[in-house]
Amino acid sequence: MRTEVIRIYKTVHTWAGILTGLVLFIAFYAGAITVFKEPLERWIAPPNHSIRAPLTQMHELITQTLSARPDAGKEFTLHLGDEEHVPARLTWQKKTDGDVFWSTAIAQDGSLQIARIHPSGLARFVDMIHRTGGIPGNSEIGEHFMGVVAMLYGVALISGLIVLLPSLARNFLALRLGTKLKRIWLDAHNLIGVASFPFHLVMALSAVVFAFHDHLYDIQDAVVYAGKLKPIMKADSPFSAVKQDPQPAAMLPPDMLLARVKSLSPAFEPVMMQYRDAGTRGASVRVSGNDPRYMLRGKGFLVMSPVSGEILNTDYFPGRQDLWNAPVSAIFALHFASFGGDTVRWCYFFLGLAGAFLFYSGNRLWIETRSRDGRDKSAVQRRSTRFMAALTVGVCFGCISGISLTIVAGKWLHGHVADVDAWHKGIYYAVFLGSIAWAFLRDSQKAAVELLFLAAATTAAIPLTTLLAWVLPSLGMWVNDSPAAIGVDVVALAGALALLRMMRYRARNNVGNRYPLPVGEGWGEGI
Amino acid sequence: MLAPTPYRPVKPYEGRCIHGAEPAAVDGAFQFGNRRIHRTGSAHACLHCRALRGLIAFMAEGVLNMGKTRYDWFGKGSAGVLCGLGLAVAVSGLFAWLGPGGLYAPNKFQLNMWLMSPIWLGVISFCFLFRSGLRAWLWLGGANALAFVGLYACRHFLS
Repeated sequence: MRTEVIRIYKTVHTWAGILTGLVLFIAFYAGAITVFKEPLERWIAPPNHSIRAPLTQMHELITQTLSARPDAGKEFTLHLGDEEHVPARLTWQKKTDGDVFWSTAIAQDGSLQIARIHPSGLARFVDMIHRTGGIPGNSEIGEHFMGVVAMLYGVALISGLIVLLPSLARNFLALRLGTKLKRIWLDAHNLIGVASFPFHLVMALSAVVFAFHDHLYDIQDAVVYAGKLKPIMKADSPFSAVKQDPQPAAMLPPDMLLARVKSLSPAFEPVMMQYRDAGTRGASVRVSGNDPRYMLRGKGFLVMSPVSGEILNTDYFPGRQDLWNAPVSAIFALHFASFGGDTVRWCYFFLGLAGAFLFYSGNRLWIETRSRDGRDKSAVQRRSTRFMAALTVGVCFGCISGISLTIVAGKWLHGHVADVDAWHKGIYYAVFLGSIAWAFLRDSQKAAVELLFLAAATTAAIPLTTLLAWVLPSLGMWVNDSPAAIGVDVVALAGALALLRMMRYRARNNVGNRYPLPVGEGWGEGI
Repeated sequence: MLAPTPYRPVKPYEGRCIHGAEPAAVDGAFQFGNRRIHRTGSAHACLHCRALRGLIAFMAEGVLNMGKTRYDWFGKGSAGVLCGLGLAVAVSGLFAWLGPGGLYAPNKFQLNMWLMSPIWLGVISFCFLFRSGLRAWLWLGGANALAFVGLYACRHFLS
C-alpha cells in the first residue's frame, strides 16, 4: 500500500511538474523582480523637471486644476512622495482616450502647467509577465492559464512532499555533491522544495484565487448566497458610506486631511490620495500608504470625505482591519511581500529566485533521469529528452535575457522611438523566442552555455548602461542616483556574475555531447 | 492436502441460457437453477449473457485486486477536480452560513471565497490516495451529497 501510494504520487509529481515547470520558472523569475517593482520604476524613470509643490501648496494646485480642467475632478491622484518615479504632484488618467495620463503643476510665476505624461510601462510589463507567464494578448486569458498552472503547481507541491516524506529525515539536508549528476539535482531540488514549502503553498493557493476569484464568487453567489452576494459586496465596499451628491462644495486642504490620518495612526506613511467626484458634496478621498508593522494588500488605505474631513472607512487601514478582513489581507501580504518592509522583500526576492531554480532543477532532474549514459558518446537520446533539454534551456535563459534586455532598452530607446512600451514587449518576445529557437537549432548542451552567456551579458548591460550614461552624458541617457535605483544596478551586477559562474560550471560539466542530434535529423522533422 | 483438481471438460449443456433464448453451449462455470450463461466468445451468445459475464468478471477482478491501489488516473482525477470543486463550494457555504456572524457578517464574504482554494486543491492533491476511481467518486460524491444537503438546509431554514 505504502510503496504503491508513493509510486502513484511520483507519477503525479512528475507530470504536474513537467507540464508547469517552465511557466512557473518565468512566473517566479519575473515575480522576484516584481517584488522590487518600485526600485525598477525609479531606475527607469526619466529625469523629471516638473515642480513638486510642497504639501501646503497642494490645495491651491487642486483648486486651479479643477477650474482649468473640470473633467479631472471625476478621479485624480495626489502623489505625496518625491521619488524619481513620481511623475508629478497631481495626475489623472483618461481611459476613454486610451490610457492617457495628465499632470499639473504650479510654475514659479503662479500659473498652472498642464502636461501629458508618459510613465514607463516597464515595471508593469514585468509584472504582466509574472501574472500571465508571458502569454501575450488579453491578460485575462494569460491569468486563467496561470490559474490552471497554479492548480497543477499545488498538486505538484503536495505530491512532491508525499513522495519525499518517508525518506525526509535521511534526504532533506543531504547534498551529495560530486556523486552522480542526477543525485546532485535531486538533492538540490529536495532541499529547496522542502525548505521553501510554506512559501510555495501560499503562492499556489493565492494564485488560484487571483486567477479564478470572479468565477468562484459567481458559483458561490448561485449556490451559497442564492443570488444575494451583490448587495452583500456592495454593503462591504469601503466606499459604501459615500453617497453621490453633485451639489458643489468646498474641500478641506490635503494637509489638514493628512493631519487627521496622522492622528489616527502616527506610524502610517501616506503615499497617495485618490480623489473621486472632487468639488461635490459626495466627494471621497482614498488615502493609501505603508505601515510595515501590518500585513496589507499592497498598500493599506482609508476612505474619508474631503468636504467634512470625516473618516468614512478604515476596513483596510493597518491595525484597524477586522476579524474577517485581517486574515484575507494576510494572504495577500504573504503573496505580495507587503509586510515587514525591505527585510521581507529581500527574503521574497531570494525565495522567488530559489523557486525559479526549483523548477529549473526539476526539469533538469527529469532530463537527467531519462538521458542515456553520457560516457557513450554515440548514445542517442530519446526525442522527448532532447525536446525537454532544448526547451528548458531556451525558456529559462531566454526569459532572463529577455527581461534584462528589455530593461536596458528602456534607457537606450527613450526619446528615439515613439512608443517605448511596445518596444519593451517586442524586445522581450524577440529575445525569448529567439533563445528557444537557438536552443532547438543547436545542440542544447552548447546552446545552454551560449544562452547563459547571453543572459549574463544582457544582465551586465544594466549596470554598464548606468555607467555609460554617467561617463558619457552626451548619449542622452540619465542616472538616477537614489539608493533604490543604484540598488538595481548592484543586484543586476551580482546577477550577471552569478550567471557567468553558472555558464562556466555548465561549460566544464558538458563532458561529451550528451544530447546529440542523430546525423541528418533536425528539429523540423517528425515532431 | 488437496491435490489440484484436473480440468474436466463439462458435457455441453443442452438446456437454455438464463435469457432463455438459445441453447447455451456453456463450459459449466455459472449455473442458476437449471439455466446457464453463454460461454464467452460463443457465436450466438445473447446480450444478457455477455453483460452478466462482464459484470461477474468485473466483480471478480475487484475481489482479486482488493487491497491494491490502482492508478486509474481519469477516475480519480475527475473525482478530485469535480467533487473537489463541489466540496469547496458546499463547505465554504456551510462556513458562510454557520460560521461566526452568519451570512451577513461584515467583510466575511471574501474569506468565504478564499476558503474554496485550499479545499479544492487539497481534494485534488489527495484524491490519488483512494484505491480506485470508483471509490474516489463514491466517497467524495457522498461527502458532497452530505455537505450540499446541509447547505440547502441552511438556505431553507436560516434565510
